Amino acid sequence: MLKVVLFAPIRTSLYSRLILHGLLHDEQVQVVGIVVRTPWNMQRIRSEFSRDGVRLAQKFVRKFLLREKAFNNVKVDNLASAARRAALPDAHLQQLAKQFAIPFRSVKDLSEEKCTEFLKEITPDIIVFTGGGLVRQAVLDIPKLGVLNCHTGVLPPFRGMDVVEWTAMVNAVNNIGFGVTLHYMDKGVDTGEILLVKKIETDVSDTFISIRMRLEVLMVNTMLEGVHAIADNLICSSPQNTQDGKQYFVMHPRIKCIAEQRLEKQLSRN
Amino acid sequence: MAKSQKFLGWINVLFTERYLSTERVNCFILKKCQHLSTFVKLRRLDRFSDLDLQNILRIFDLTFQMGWITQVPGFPFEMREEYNSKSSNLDWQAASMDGKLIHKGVLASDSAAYLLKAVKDGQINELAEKNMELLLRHVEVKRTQSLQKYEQEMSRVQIWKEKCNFAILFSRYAYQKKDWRYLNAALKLNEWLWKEYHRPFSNRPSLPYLTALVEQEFTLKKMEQC
Repeated sequence: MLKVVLFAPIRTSLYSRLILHGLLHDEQVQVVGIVVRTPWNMQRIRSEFSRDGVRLAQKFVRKFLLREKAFNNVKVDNLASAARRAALPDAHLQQLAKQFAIPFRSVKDLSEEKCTEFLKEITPDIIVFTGGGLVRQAVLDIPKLGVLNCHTGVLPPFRGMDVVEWTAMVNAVNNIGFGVTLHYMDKGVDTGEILLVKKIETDVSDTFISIRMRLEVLMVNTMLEGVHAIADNLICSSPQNTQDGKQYFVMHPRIKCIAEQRLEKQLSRN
Repeated sequence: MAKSQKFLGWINVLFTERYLSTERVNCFILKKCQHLSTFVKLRRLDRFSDLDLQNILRIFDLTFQMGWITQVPGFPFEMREEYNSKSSNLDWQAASMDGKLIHKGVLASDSAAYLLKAVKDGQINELAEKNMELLLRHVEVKRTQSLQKYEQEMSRVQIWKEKCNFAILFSRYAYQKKDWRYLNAALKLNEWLWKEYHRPFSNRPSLPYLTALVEQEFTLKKMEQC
């Protein structure tokens, strides 16, 4: 039995809840803990605002207030439709933890003492990271196998932020494509050993939003597939050569306009 | 349409990313160019340093290449070597801290000028490339707090000029390496500098900033065509 701890950005996160739901249904896996970051702390708000700017407000409304409702009338496959398919209970992570008697911790920071002490106590094999900010080396060292993250892009070429948009910007839609990568986290940004890379097919009607929605569903499936394969000892990780890729950062809106045009052009050539 | 969708749409509009539009940048550049053109025509160039005059030449050259002005005003002097006060490219390697121009958020003084010379001379070696990547990360992570601390104490105006030099460096390096990430950083940096420049009583010299904006627009135009 693989002992798993789930790290989540907020207790209502649909992505985290779907992954927890999948893990609870996996007979090879035992969820031994859930750690959630508290949204209401100034340090977190400040650091996320400096990174995301006004996008943070949109993210807050979409993920914290609207949740599944944010996907109403959306035609492409998305997390809400995945939740319906999986019959995901309408309960947040803390409620699910209580229901399944899983130890639950709410922390200001994933690297704080309260979190490391909790992890040392339950000695997990793996931590499944579904968000919540930086994970320091002290935490990365605790699980026997490592901390798993699913990145919204193809590694090694596209590390970092806004990689869906950057894939189009550097004209890589038709040769590299859009996908997700399951990897172990290390001290770098998306530089850890790779377990799985999964890609999606695109068509002319796709936009960055539709691609992102479909990738989110793929991330859930890839994470669950990866954890199951690790539990069954069916998967090996392979190190990345960071020289094979670049780290990307939040895209400026003027470059994003060019990226949108380029995406359209590349999809029509597909 | 569902109420939630309407709400989300409203929120999206309310929190749409505000950014410096092409029109505002172009308008600023043209206005400043007209101003500079008057100085050149009136031969009132003695107030400018050699580096400033080089920047003025560059501004007119690039705006002319972009088709924003129809004529480059005649200058009453010979073209001088850019950054001729700086020593050779190799010197900055020795001057830098453990081969890094940035260490724990502190920058080696004149880093931008050294790297600009390396870019101009086509002498971007592995070490310079590593430093460019470090600088890119520093600007992207620290954002408005980036490029503030230097080995030697610098005045606010000197820091302002250095930041403008970094914006110029990012644009030129982006064009040379055809790497959009550096232009992305230049766009952000220039946007933060815009706010600083337009702050009441900021008293920041406009020429380095104008050069940075012109370099940005030129690189954007050229790279879009690639």
